[in-house]
Amino acid sequence: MAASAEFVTELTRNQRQLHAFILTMVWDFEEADDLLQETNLALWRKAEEFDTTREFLPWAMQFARFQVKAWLKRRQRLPPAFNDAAIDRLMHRSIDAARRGDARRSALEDCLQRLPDAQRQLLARRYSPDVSVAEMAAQQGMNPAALSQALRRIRIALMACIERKLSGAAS
Amino acid sequence: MKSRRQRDVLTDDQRDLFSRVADGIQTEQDEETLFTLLAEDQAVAEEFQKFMALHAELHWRYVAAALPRPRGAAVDATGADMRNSARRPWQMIGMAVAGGLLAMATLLGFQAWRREPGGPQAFPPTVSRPLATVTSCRAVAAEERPLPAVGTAMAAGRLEIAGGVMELTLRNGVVIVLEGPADIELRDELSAFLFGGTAVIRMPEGMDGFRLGTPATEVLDLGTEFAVYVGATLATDVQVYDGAVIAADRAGGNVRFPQRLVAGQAFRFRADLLGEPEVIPYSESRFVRRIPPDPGIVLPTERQRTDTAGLADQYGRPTRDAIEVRRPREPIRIDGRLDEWGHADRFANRLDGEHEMGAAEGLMLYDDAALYLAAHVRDPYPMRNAIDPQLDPDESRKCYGVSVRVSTDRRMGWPALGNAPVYFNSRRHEPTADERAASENRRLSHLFLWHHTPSGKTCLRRFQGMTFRQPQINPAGYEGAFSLDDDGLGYTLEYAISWSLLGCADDPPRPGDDLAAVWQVSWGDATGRLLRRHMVDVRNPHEPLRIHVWERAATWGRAEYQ
Repeated sequence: MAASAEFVTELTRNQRQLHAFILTMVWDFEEADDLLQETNLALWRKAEEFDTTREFLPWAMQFARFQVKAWLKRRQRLPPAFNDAAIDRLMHRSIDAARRGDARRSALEDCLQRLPDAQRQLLARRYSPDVSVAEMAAQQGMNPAALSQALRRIRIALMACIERKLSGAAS
Repeated sequence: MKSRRQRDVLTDDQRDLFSRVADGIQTEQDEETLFTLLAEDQAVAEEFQKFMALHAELHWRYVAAALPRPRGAAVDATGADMRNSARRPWQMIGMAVAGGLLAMATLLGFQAWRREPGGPQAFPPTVSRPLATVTSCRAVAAEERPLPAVGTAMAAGRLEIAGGVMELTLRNGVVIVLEGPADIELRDELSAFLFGGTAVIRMPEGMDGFRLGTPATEVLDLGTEFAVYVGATLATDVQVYDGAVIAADRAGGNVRFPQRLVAGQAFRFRADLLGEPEVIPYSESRFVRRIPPDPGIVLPTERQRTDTAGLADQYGRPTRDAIEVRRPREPIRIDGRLDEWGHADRFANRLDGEHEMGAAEGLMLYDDAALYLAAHVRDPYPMRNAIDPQLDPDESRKCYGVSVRVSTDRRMGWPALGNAPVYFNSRRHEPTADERAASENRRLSHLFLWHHTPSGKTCLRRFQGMTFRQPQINPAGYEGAFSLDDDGLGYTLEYAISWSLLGCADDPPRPGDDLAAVWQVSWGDATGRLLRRHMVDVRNPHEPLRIHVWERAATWGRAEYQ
């Protein structure tokens, strides 16, 4: 049960990656938060088994994978899109992305600053805790789908901006 | 080039589909379509993963910037009575927008928590298969009726108590001891969210995995007994009595696990800081783990606030509207004995129905250097105050002992002017500039005097003005002493408080001055944490009893300096 300093550091450092990995399959923040907590709890119980000579994230993702699969099973949602082979691919891509995580986050910050104020404010409202798009749309007298489309345009712009920055940095 | 190629992987319809899923407005057909796409087209699957990674990153980022931010009046920082100060302690809550605002609010010490849609009920409705049962209560106060009785069954939902202690047993045997004022959401057998106040969680033998969330942390139980306290500034203290927990700091939107806490450890997690949690002293007496069998002085039956008899039950009947403040005939020695006080004027009062144990006397003297305060209080649990003024400054309302509010504003004289923000708010009155200035008057002092049992310290906490600004805990400029009655059922306190501490060294009270002052004596229980009764004396009889002495300085009686 004892957790080494290395373990704590790694667990701390990889929270976002674990969360994103889980979210890709469960889609809902609250559910993803809960599964992340369950994953963390399971990891802590196995802290002594962590081999500090090996990479942490692939090991931790196995725990997250187990939690997500159990959740999907409880929800009777086991589509081929999330079969073992598909989850393996998700994991590998997540691990690759994690290696570039800091650069991507930094690029996101830059790109957010380049957004028009109105778009930045819309994002801030959308990602405030406990805010749903349906509620936002109702407040603004909009169709939720239209609001989601507006958010889609911002997200796509951000993704493109991030990719430009990352490819620019790489070259 | 790469980004151009990636953009071309998706159609606009597919991007809309991703957004609908991320925004939680997808249809079943959308889900089926997405599942098919993800299974059949790896390029789309890769783009979806990137999209969700951005979605997750935005979530982390904006949650970090939107920690719950307190908003509202500083009513609960008064250290005044529990009943009204907890009127709606976490009612006026907004969402935080910036760490700076949070830090500012932290400094102001506002006491409020985020209120979720629907808000807390006084008590969640009962159901045929309850999540929890009230297994014990002590002096529970609630804003709404009915007060819960032992045996009351509750469903999942928000539960708010204004004061006292309530023990809940979940259907799986987990015990939660909730100390008011507190606001908790019972979610299921293994999770709850504490918006404010204190909860002690006790797990049944062999069980673990209970999660208690707070605005600043997630505490994951590993088979244990632990206490969690969410204070006015949203800081969360975690203390482990037995076993171990994992405490995850989620300040900054990043769930982090800086420590595994084991029995005997205590940490403070600060919502406004991104650094490591702070190690704080472990204190066995800090929280109520179990409700003691002896209730102490019994609370009167609750009555309506406007019921004069009811108010007298709770606050005693003032016997005096004025007290003479004389000069000592010999130097005062601060030793907890009142040998030099024979000629001092005093009020002598007793709580209705409490006979000898609810009796108290208060005395005042002054000279060129200081104001002298003394009291003798009969109390079945004297000098047992467990509230640590350093660890729990927000809990000072529970620091039972004696509080004296005095004006040293000679120009203002009597009655004193100045109202607390809640006075204006409750009357929907926007204060004028003059009224605001009167409320900020630094020559109005609220002095709380108590003996801190664990440290043996003689404590003083001072607030200034009716807005309770600039609280000082054990500041320089006072001397105090307590002594226990020979029979162990009462105490005497004696304080000298310098005029400089009271902010009037340049112009202290003089003979012939009539200034404002009011006394309040408070009794606690065996735990040293639960307030039981108050007594107010030296009060202006022309001000209605329904107005609290901490709300309006005009309620204070007259201190006639001789």
